[in-house]
Formats: sequence, structure tokens, C-alpha cells
Amino acid sequence: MAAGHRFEPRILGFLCNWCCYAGADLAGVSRFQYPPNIRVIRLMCSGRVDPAHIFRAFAAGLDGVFIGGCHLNDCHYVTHGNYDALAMVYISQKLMAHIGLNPERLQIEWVSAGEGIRFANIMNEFIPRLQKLGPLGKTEGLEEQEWKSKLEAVLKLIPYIKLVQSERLRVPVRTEEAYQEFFNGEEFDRLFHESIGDKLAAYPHAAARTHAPGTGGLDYDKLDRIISRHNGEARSLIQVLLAIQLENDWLPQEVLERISEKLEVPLSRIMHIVTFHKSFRLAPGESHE
Amino acid sequence: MPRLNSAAELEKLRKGLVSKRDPDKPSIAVCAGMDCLGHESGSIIAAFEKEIKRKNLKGKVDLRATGCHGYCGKGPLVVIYPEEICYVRVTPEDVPEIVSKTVLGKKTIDRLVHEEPDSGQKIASMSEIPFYKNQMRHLMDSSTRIDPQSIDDYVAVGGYSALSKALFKMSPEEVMEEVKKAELRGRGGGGFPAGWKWKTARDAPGEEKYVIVNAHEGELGAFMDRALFTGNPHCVLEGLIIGAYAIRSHQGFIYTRHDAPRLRNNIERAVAVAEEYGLLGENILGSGFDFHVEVHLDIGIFVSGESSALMKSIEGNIPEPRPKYIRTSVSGIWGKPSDLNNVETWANVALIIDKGAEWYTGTGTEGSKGTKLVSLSGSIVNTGVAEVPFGTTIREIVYGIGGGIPDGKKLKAVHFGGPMGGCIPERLIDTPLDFDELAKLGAPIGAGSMLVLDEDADMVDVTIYFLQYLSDESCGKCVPCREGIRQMLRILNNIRDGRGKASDIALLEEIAEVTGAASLCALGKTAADPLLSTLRYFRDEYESKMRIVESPAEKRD
Repeated sequence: MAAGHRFEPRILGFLCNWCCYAGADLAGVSRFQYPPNIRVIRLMCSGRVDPAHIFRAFAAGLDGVFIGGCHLNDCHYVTHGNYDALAMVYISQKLMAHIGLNPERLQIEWVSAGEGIRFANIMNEFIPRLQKLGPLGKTEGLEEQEWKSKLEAVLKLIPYIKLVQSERLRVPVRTEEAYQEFFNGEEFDRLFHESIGDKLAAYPHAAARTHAPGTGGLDYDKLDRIISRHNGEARSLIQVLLAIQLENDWLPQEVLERISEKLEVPLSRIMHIVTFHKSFRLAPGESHE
Repeated sequence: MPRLNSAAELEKLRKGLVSKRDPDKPSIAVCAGMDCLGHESGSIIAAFEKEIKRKNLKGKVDLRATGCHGYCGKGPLVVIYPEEICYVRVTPEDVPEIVSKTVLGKKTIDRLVHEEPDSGQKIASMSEIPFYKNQMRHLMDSSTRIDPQSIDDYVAVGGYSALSKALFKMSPEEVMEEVKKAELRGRGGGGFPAGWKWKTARDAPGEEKYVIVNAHEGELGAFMDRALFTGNPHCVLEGLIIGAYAIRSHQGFIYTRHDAPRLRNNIERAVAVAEEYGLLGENILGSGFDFHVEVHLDIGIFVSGESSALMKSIEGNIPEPRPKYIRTSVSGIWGKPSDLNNVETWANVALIIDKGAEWYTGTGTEGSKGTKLVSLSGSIVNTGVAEVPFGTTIREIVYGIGGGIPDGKKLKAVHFGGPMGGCIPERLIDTPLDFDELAKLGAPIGAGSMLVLDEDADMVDVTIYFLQYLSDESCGKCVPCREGIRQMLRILNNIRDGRGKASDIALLEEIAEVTGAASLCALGKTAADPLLSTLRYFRDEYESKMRIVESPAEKRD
């Protein structure tokens, strides 16, 4: 890279149809200048942004994520989706901090349809800040492999995190102050560590294991021999899986794919069977529950 | 070994085997049942081999690693023939002494002999030991004389003669009639008449039919099927082939556990050798009857012992039961009529055909004929597998065979049928072992596991233990079972932890009723049985736990 070449962060924006998107539109029509680093996805409501979207964007190597919605209490829906977006951002930022990513890479702002200038101002602040932070992981001191596997672990846990959010991390009153108080309070800290933090701490290993490459030491010849020993018919599926597990101690992904191909059974059915029985293992070591 | 092509050839083989066997020749039978192997009977066998080699006795002394003898609590067991001296708790260090003193010197070693706990009397002869003496061993009789790996051993004691009788002297209908006349009832738990089940399968439309051995035996505390099947696989196989002949099935399945390697090996070997001998496969014994057997392994999940779930598993699907408006004997594996019987049921078939229904019905009670294998566990002196005629009282089994309760404790209850069974209290132990009598008391015989509970047992804890097991094993397909068990468990845990409410028992009974009525398969239907039977006989234990809580005021909030 040539000296003096400026780092250009790649940013993904989720903007709500009614306010922020219209605000951004107005900024453009009014020729307000701001750097062109943001790629925009329009949503009907900022409340539709799922943590999975955010972490998928980061896992794909984007350097920042921006969420823009209507001002609080101005949501176009009775659900007040922008409060949901706010809670989601607080939790996602907590998660980012937990895995060692700078939470400033994720920002949420309220921009109304008439505030074109405000949108441009926000971008003019956000983008230089990301430029200073550098590419994802750089100022955080994380290697690409590291943040990738960490983000992957988070992505795997997202259904669980959403469950915890709906059960334990709800704010009863929909006011900005109540949200700030709860998400900056000790209670949230404690609940987060109890229910999510500890899970995540244990998870990266599991995630790494599930994705152990290859066939786990089982060569295809041997595999094919086991399959043909059981007549190579779909009805022998369980027997084949069992024989392989007895041989190999666990069932690597590639092996399952091979079986699916050989026995002409959809992978989904194999996964159905394998996950139903507690004694089948999808990773070396302990059995799954 | 060349194939046997006729009944005469089988008889010739048998005669040859018997004539070569000198009844006076010393023979050592070392129990290689599950329990004895766990106590190093493997190294005892190795020690005998070494000793026989060292003393140059090869050919002069027979050595057999047999299946389970049944007297598991006293293992490892060694029986010396022809004197039939039974040694208990043998160690590899005893082996040289046994060979020199008993096998060669014909003297018993007092220290290894069974001793009566009360009188201190020493009993050397196997058939005189109360544990064996009080049994009636029709199925287990040959367990000490058969090496499960050797088909010759089985043939020598009369094996496969029932098969040749059925194939050559009886029509399939006659075989079925004989089994019906013998009133053989399914030993897996239901007690359904096996002959009628066969008839349903045979009369069901469709050319292709299947017969299945259910050797899953997932019931907690049940180990008699495994003992029988591991120790004498051919007797089950013979029954299966006879059944297939009667039903006109040409394909059989043996469904068994993947986690019992010895059982699996013995079955697989038995099937392979039977095929080699022409007792299985095309044109069995030259009779024109074809029958093949496949061994299928389960994956360690309790519900796959249920018939429709088991058949799903054989098809290669996940073992989830289906509603049985149509019986599996009409529409089972791949929608074909499939007759499923338990290991012990199949083993009885060969016996019935061999000796006749009349002989068979001579044993047992009005409604339950023949003998039953029971596995004794819990607070009992002699744990193990015993075979008794139906009609034997529970008292005789617990005290006569089981040797009573250890440490001078009092008997409290006997629990039958594992997690889906029920218990009877001490005052009812003069009840005879009988399908109908016990079912009336809310303690169906199940597969025959008897868990003996002494006075220290907490019946609420026992119930929680069983329900916890079922809650873990429920497949989750139908809601009443999955949720019902969970809720019962929650209330029970509350009661145990002193948080019970007065209305809890009524609520438990209500949930139990709905779970039983609305679940798809036997797991859910009978899940509440332990609860209901303990409520029936030990209601005061539940109530006393609540009273304790209600008195101290501080625990109320």
C-alpha cells in the first residue's frame, strides 16, 4: 500500500424507510457532502435489524455498522420498533466489547425525514472515527482468524441470546432514560455475564471443533467400505452412522455429506437423525445434549 | 462344516457330538456374563487356559466361557462338571488350586463354596444352593453347559430339534396352533398372547412379512434378556425361525443394543454360523423354507424399544412412535405386517414346539403359563437372574431365591417393570407372580425386573428417580408425555424439597390421568405408573412431607 494512502472503512447502514432513509435522501438531494463509505440497506423499521445482521456484517469483514431510525416515540408503528433497535444495539455493543471488538464500530442514531443535514453531520463524524480505528481488529489487536472465530461463536449463539433478551433483558418502560439506566446499570452487567458471557466463554472451543476440517482421520476408502458393508441402502442409514461412530468416535461434517451422497439421503434427514440421538457426536469429545 | 440338508443330517450331527462327549470327562464352566466379566472372569478363563496347558491336560479337560449363570451377586462363578461343584467369588489366583484339587483330585475347596448366611452351612453342589434349587430353569438350564460361541454345544443339548420338528412334522398352522394352545404371553411387558399376534401378522394382507426380536431391553434394572441372549443366542434364533415359518415370513430382524459388544458378537456369530450350517438362509435343512436375519443396532435411546419406534429405527428413521390404531403386526416395517416379540418370548417358542403345549401349560397359573425370567436388584442378598414358574409368590422369589434383605433390614416394597412399572408393598408379597394378578395391584410385571426396596427407601425419591429418567428419555413427539412428565416431576421435586401444597396430590393425579390417556405410546401412557402405585400404597409418605412443611411458620413464605 502506498504511503499516505488513507484507509477507507467499509460501512453497512440499516436505515428505516420512514425517517432516516428519507433523511439520507434529503441529504443527497440537498447536496450535503459526506464521505461515500456507507452502503445502505433500507428497512421498514430499525426494529427489524437482528443482531445476526450486525455480526454477519462484521464477520464478512465490514469495519462499521450504522443503524438509523426515527426519533424515539416518533416510530411510525405502534410497536415502537426503534426502542427494540436501541436494546438490540446495547446488547450487541456489549457482545462486541466482550469478544474484544470496539463497540464504537456500531452506532445507532435518530434522524427524521427533514434532517438531511443531521444525517450528513453524523456520517462526517462516524466515518473519520472509523478511519482512525482502522480495519476491523487492528486497533483491537486481534488477528483476522481470531475475530472471525469469535464472531462465528457469537453468530451461533444468537438464537439463544435473543431468547435471553426476551426473557431477562426487557426494559419495562419505553423511555430513553429507562433504557439508558438499565443498559448502563450493574443489573444488566450481571445478567449479561450470567446468561451470555459464560456461555460465550465456553463456546469458542466448541465452535472451533465443530468446524474441524476434513473427515477426522477417516479416509474415504474406509468410509465407502463401511457403507457398502451395510448394503449401501438408505435404510441402513442408522447402522452406517453407528458403524462410523464406533470406528471414528464422532461424525465429521464431510463424512455426513459423503453418506448423504452415497445413500442418496438428504443431508437434512441425516442431521435429523444425528441430532435426535444423544449418543451421536458431531464433534470429538463429549456427546451433545 | 458342510451344510445340513435334512433333518436326518442334523440328528446325525447331534449323535456324533453326543457320542464324542464323555459325561464323566471333567469340564469347567466359567461364567462370562456381564457381571462376572466385570469382576475379571476374563482373567480367570485365561488362568484356566494357562493351567490346562501347563499341566498338559488339553483334551482331557473341557473349558467353557459360558453365558450368565444368573447368580450375579456371587460372581465370578465357576462350575466344575461332572460333579457340578459351584464355586463363588473365584479369583484368578484360585485357579491352580481348583485344577489340581477339584478337577483332578475330585475334592471340593471349602473356602470357595457357597455358604448359607444364616446357618453357615457349606453347599458345594450347584443344584443344592437355594438360589438355584428354588428356581425352575427351563430356559436358563443349559446356561452353564453352553459356550455361546459354539453351535455344537447347543446342538448337543438338543438344540434345533424343535426347528426340524416344526419344519418336517408340522404345518405352519399347526405350529401356530401349538403356540396358541400353550397360551404363551409376550414377555416384553404387555403380556399379549404371542400366538394371536402371530395370527394377526399371518392373516394381514401382503406377501412380505417380517419377524423381529426385540432385544433392546432398555428398562432400568432389567438384564435377563441380555443374560439369556448373550449366553444362548441360538435358542432365541431357533424360536425366531420357527415363528417365521408359522407366520410365513422370510425376513427377520434382531434389534439389539450397540453398547453391549459381547451380546452383539455372540448374536452376529450365531447368525453367521447358523447360516453356515444351513439352519438359516435359503432352503433351511432342505425343507424349502427360506429365512434371512439381519442384526440392527439401536443407538441408546429408551423409546426405541417401543414397537412402532423400533420399526421406524429399522427403516432408518428416527425412533418416534406412531399412534397404533393399526397394530404393527398389520402394518409395521415399511407398512408390511411385522411381528415383534421379546427375546424371552422367542426363546420359549422352541421349548413349546419341542416339548408340546401340554407339557408347557403344566407349569404356571390360570392366566400365565410357563416360566419367567426375573432380574433381582436393589436391596437383596442375591442379585442376579432367576427363572421361576408363574405362580411363585413374590415372597418365595425375594426370600427363597433372593436370600432376603441384607443387613437385617425390613422389606418395604418390590418394584416391578422399571420406570414404567409399579410397586407392591410388603404386606402383599404373597401375591403370585402372574401377569393379571400383578396388573390388578397396579404393578404390572413388565419385562421382569424386580427392584427390591428396604425400609430406608424413600418412595417419593424412587418415583422422582423414575420420572426423571423418563423425562430425559421421552422423545418429545407428543405433548402430553413431554410436558406431563415434566410437570409431575416439578411438583414432586417441590414436595421433596418441602415446598408441597395440600392440593398437589390431587393435581398430580389429574396430570397422571391426562398423560396416561393422551400419550401416543406406552412410554407416556405408563409414565405415571410408578407415581400412581406409590400414591396408592404409600400416600402417607407424600402427605407427611407436606405436613412437616406446614407446621414451621418460617418455611411458609
